[in-house]
Amino acid sequence: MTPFAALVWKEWRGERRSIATLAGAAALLPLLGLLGAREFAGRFGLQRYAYDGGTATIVAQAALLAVALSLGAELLPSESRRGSIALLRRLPCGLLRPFLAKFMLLIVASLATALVAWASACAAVRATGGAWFPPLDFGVSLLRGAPNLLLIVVVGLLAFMASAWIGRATLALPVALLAVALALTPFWLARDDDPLLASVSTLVPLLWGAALLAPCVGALSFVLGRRRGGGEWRSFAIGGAAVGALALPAGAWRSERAAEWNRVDPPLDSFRVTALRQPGVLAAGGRYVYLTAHHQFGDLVIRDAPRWVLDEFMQFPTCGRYSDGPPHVLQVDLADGSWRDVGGPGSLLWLPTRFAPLEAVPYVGIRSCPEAEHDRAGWRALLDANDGREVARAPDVDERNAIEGRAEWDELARSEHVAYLGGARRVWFEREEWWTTDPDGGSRRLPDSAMSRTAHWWWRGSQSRGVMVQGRRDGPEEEEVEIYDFARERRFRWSDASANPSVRKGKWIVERWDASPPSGRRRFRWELYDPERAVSLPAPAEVADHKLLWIDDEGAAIGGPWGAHDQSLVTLECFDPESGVRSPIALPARLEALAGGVVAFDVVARTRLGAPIVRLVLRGRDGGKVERYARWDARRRELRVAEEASAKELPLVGCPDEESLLVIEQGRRLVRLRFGSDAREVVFPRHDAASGAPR
Amino acid sequence: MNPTAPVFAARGLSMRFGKRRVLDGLDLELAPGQVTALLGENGAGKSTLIKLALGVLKAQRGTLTVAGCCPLKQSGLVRQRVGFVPDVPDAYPWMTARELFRFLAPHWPSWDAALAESLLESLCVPTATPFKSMSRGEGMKAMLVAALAPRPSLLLLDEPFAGLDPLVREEVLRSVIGELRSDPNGGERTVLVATHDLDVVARIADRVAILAHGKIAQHGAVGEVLGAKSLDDGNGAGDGSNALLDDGAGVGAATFKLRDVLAATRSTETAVR
Repeated sequence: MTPFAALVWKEWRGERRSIATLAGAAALLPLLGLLGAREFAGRFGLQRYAYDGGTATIVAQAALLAVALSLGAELLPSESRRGSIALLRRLPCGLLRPFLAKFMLLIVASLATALVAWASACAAVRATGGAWFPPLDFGVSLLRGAPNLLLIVVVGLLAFMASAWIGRATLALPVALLAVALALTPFWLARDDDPLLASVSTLVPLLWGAALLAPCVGALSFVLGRRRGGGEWRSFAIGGAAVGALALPAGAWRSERAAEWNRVDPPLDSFRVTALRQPGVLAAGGRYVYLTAHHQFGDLVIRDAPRWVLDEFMQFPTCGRYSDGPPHVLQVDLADGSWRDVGGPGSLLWLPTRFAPLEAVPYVGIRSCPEAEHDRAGWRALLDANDGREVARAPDVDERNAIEGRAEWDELARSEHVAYLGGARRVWFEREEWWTTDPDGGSRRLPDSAMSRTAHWWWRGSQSRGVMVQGRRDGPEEEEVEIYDFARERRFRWSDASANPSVRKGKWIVERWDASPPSGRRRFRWELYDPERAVSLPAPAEVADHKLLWIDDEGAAIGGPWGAHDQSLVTLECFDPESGVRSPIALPARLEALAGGVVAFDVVARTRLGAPIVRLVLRGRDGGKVERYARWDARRRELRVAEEASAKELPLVGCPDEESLLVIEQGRRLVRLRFGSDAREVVFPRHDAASGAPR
Repeated sequence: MNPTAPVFAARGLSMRFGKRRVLDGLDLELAPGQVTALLGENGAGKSTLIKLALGVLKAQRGTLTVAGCCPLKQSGLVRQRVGFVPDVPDAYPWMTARELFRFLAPHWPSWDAALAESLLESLCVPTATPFKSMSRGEGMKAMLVAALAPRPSLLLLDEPFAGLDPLVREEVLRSVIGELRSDPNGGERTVLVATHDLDVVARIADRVAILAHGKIAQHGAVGEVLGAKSLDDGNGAGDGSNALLDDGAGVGAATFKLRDVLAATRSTETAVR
């Protein structure tokens, strides 16, 4: 027998009665309890536990906790109480191995008892008519209960640790909790500044840390505290010092982090523009851009390993990473790159639900980030986009808050109901009426529809020169649809609500899914429609399965074959939908050199500009995808691509004028690119620009 | 280890507990093969000195060498070479003597199971009785066997006979006297017995060291220090006869002598201060 084996044997021999008693209780109590629950189900509402397979897990965890607390808290103090610590001190092996033997016995006894309790509970559930075993749910969800189990393990280990400091087992748990409370004080004090501190996700790494460190601190306290004739006080002093030495640097780190947490500093590498659907908006005056930004902290040690535990807890939906700081709404002056934190920590851009990308806004809405609110009430505010002045602020108490009832919000929300028709012409829906701009710059109301005023409407975005109005009279079955053709300036009845016609000067284009014989594979094809005669005509075969990007004022279509999943290259073409005559559109030579070709294209949105912005997805030479933006020059019939950028993905913020656009580069810079040019200007952050404190 | 080198050598050993100074520059050397009684009043520091020798306490000043090793830096080695019998049996109450040996044996590579068995038999130690049910004398004998079984070169006894009633003490004394000097490796075992019992001194010790006020006040043969005749003139195992016991006046004289020594030490101490 080795010395360690002798020590383990001694522990087992000394504690076997206690362990047997605990195991016996773990075996009998679940049986009695569940049978009792069945018997007295109606009286105490316990019936569900008698039949629930999950009860076994709860019982096993309770048994684990009971053993950990009763046995774990007794193993070390008993040595001092009965004086046998003197015998241990005289052993040639020192005190570390006796400690490890006790720890090993505690672990084995706890697990064994928990297993007995689990098996007993399974049997009890079976006896009451349930399944033999609780349903096992393999995969990540199996670990959902891990935090509870971890908490139980940590409580037991902390009690074991604290028992090295005291002579009474009964005081182990209170002393452990007191030590933990003191150790967590710095964390607790900083909780308001760092949302991470107040979240369960912080608790989990802390529990892991405690689970690993508690036995170490216990060993240190016991071995160093007792080896030279020391008693509980010396162990307590050493253990307390160890806890302090572990907690204070961690607390200091967290406090420093909490101080950093709310700061936003664009020149830092950790600065990020938050990847929202709309990362920023351009003020109507064209001078300011409003961005949502945050710090991306890279110093969190535990990042991805415990994701299975952390996933369901703390993650800023705005930032996507639990190591991100709270979002701030920044006002950036395009003139000089200066910026101001107009929202403060925990604020987000708040825009109407169907906000049209690239729209310039007269007002900008901001709101508190739910993840940063803690127990404080949320809020919403409306700022004048042209100067950042706060127009209104209201608590976020319900779905329809006070802000959304204001005229300023209506003006902002108007962007939801605006369609651009090309040539700077637009149509919008306001107070249940349709309005449009005239070529001379004025506005006029469209003639009343014959349909119900409850009609809703949409348009075919980029390629349409018309507005589809869909109304409902009495029931869901009776829908009627009409199209307002701006080329002809009149309404047409439309009978097929499932197909969306693209209105143009000549014949309309109607797109539908079409089964292609003999394979039956569905393809997206289009056909022509004569609105005057209300007849459909086949499209020219050369272009019938083209994807339409848009239709220009003269009725010419721009588009190309649909991209494929294998990222095969496509060619952009300008074509006549009625004759099928096509002419390819060339990319700039510089872009051709950069990328292998276009694999996909899309229209980002038709804006107040004369022509829409086209997003080109290119196949990069390295195999990845490269994103670039372009505008169609109708006069020259060519694409004017904004060529120069240092990132593959370029979230679009807005177009301050006809010739340029603002994009987010590398997730942290606001860059102005120019169409038809390789010019590139970093607008924000600039090192020479002034910064502003939160409001 | 040099066979003539002292088994125990303390130089300038100082130890205090809080404000109370227990050892104050203590010097003591124990030659191999001698049984030395460490005499002193209660609280004089006898147990402290033994604990320092075992490496379970750390002196504030001075050097200590036990069995050729430093008890602090080589505590494992020292504990393997030194046997110790406490004043009160400190084995686990549920343990029997055999279980105690089963627990201790793996820690001492030199553990002699046969010796332990023979000692158990010769000392009439109950082997199936747990310590909590043993008498004080039985417990002490079991602890003595546990201390002797590894064949230590130095045996430290910390008032092992204190608190025993006269009959039990006599029985224990008679049974252990022969074992104290038994041969560990062909040589003689060194024994340091902390006690304040002159009868014990007279029956088992060759030499006596009187510890008073943190120092060794006197150290020498029993007869020289206490003015009494030792069992065998300080040279070997006792034969069971005891001049001091046979002569009650001798014990009384030795007691007076011891009192004189302690008083002289106290007055010297006062004068120095």
